[in-house]
Amino acid sequence: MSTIEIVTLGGIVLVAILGFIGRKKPNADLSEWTVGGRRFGVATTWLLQAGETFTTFTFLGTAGLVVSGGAAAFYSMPYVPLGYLVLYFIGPKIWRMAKARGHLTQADFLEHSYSSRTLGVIAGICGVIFLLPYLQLQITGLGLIVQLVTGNRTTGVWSMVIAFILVVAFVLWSGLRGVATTAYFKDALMLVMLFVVCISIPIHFTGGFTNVFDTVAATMPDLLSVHGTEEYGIPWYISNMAISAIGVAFVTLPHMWPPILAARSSAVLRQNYLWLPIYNTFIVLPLIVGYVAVVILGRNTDADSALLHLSGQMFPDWVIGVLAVAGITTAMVPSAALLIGISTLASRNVFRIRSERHQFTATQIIVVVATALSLLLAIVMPDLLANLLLLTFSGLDQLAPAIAAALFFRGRLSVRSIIAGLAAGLIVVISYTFWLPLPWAISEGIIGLGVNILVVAVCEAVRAGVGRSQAETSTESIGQRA
Amino acid sequence: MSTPDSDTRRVTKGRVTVWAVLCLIPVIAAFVLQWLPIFNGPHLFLGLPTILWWTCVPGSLLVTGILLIIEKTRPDLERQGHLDDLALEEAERLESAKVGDRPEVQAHPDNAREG
Repeated sequence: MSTIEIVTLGGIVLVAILGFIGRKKPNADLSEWTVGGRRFGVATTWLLQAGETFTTFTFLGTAGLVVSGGAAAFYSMPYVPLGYLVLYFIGPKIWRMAKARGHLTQADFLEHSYSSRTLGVIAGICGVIFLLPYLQLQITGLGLIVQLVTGNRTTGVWSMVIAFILVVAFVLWSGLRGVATTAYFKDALMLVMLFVVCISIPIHFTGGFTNVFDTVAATMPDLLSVHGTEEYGIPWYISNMAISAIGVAFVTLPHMWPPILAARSSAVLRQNYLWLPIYNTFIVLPLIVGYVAVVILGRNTDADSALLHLSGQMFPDWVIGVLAVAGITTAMVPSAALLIGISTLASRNVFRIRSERHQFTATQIIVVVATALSLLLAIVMPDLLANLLLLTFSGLDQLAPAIAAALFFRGRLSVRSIIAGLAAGLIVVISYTFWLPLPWAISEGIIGLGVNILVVAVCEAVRAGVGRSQAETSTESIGQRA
Repeated sequence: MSTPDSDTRRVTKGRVTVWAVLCLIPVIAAFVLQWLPIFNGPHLFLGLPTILWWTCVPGSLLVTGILLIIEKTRPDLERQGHLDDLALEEAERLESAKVGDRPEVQAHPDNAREG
């Protein structure tokens, strides 16, 4: 075994050990397993929520997006802070509603808000279907990182299998508490490595940041701005930023609910939303590396491997190994949170198992099944990382009107209107993703959301019209009888 | 002791309007700057692409600054604590009254209380 392989394997095992440390004895209660008994403080909740920002996409997709689309990649910077701007106000409200009623999932919240089990089931199914590609993305990313640093595809596949067997094991043992303990390690290591790599790469290859951008300005000025209406043009940039911000603002990703529900109080959430936008600025580091990759490797380089490829040319093997471990943790930790989200949704809201004990057992079985399925997909059908992430956001963002209406209109909207809008939005997203050409490369999620809201509005207008005519008819018949 | 409903230190409409205007600044900035060549052109500002500065500043620093202003000027922080306590009480009541294995679908009084 090479030095890189030894360090990488050691890192995978270390993450798993930290995950097991999360609990002294195995979990046996679904609420404790899913939301950690709702007792997490500022630091833990912070790291769990920041996990959404820093995933394998940070190490692979972000720098890769610069190589593919230049400045259009900057859309990944403002959407999270814009989402937190809304979450600062609605996060505490979601927390209180969930606390009072014992919600564990996003679908629980929707089911209760609209008094509709059908909506709960639909939200649960959507969550499971759209989170599975996100889980697969993390697994594929992990394999790709190991493959790139070792130069061996077989090692990449084996590392995926070993890492995810260990993720399943610690998730089954300690649930969200395990995710929390590994999140501390993940964020610390990731930030250190991002700083080391993203500062030394420009200095080593070009003599500093300024030289990188001077070269780009002189030779490829089109990469410094967002322009045009083609892919990576202004409509693409704005629509992707909007759909991603809406996703964060209304917590449309179901696996982001446990970190919110696990907070000790609503004040904990408010404190985090104040400062998390600053933390998000670290995403600028891999973006800069993307420009270095364009200057050194050219615009035809493999986009997703840019950061690791450059690191491989300048660092000793043990540093590459530690960098790989940092990348691996950005896959393992969010995957653990995803598994908790997917399995709880499936057992509570899709299969609707009544007994709490049986619900917990089913959740554990689903963790294993979901991982096996995603692992298989990752090995057989790996896809380009950034596009998968956008598909997940686009599909799940169709739940945003339902969540927003539950918070702001207090159940005044009919559940039929909400379901009709959701169905219409999903049909549009799926159609544009697989068959139809997108006008001006606009995000399919935004088009779907527009249709979704329009359908809800039309249904509500029809409902109001029917209600009014029924009221008039009954008034007339009362008058005739009188 | 004041209750959330009797608490006079509520957020006034005027204050909500000020907050809304403040919150709209980074949102508008994020969606409008791309259309202005001075912020989104093939040139550098302090050694970095101009658009990088202008997406970073409104996107992160400005949002934190605005949320800090809102947090420091909120008159209803005590009421937020009250609402948390009420949610906790309701959770305990639900737990003690629970007959089946999981809570049934019911209307949520928390929404009405927040009004």
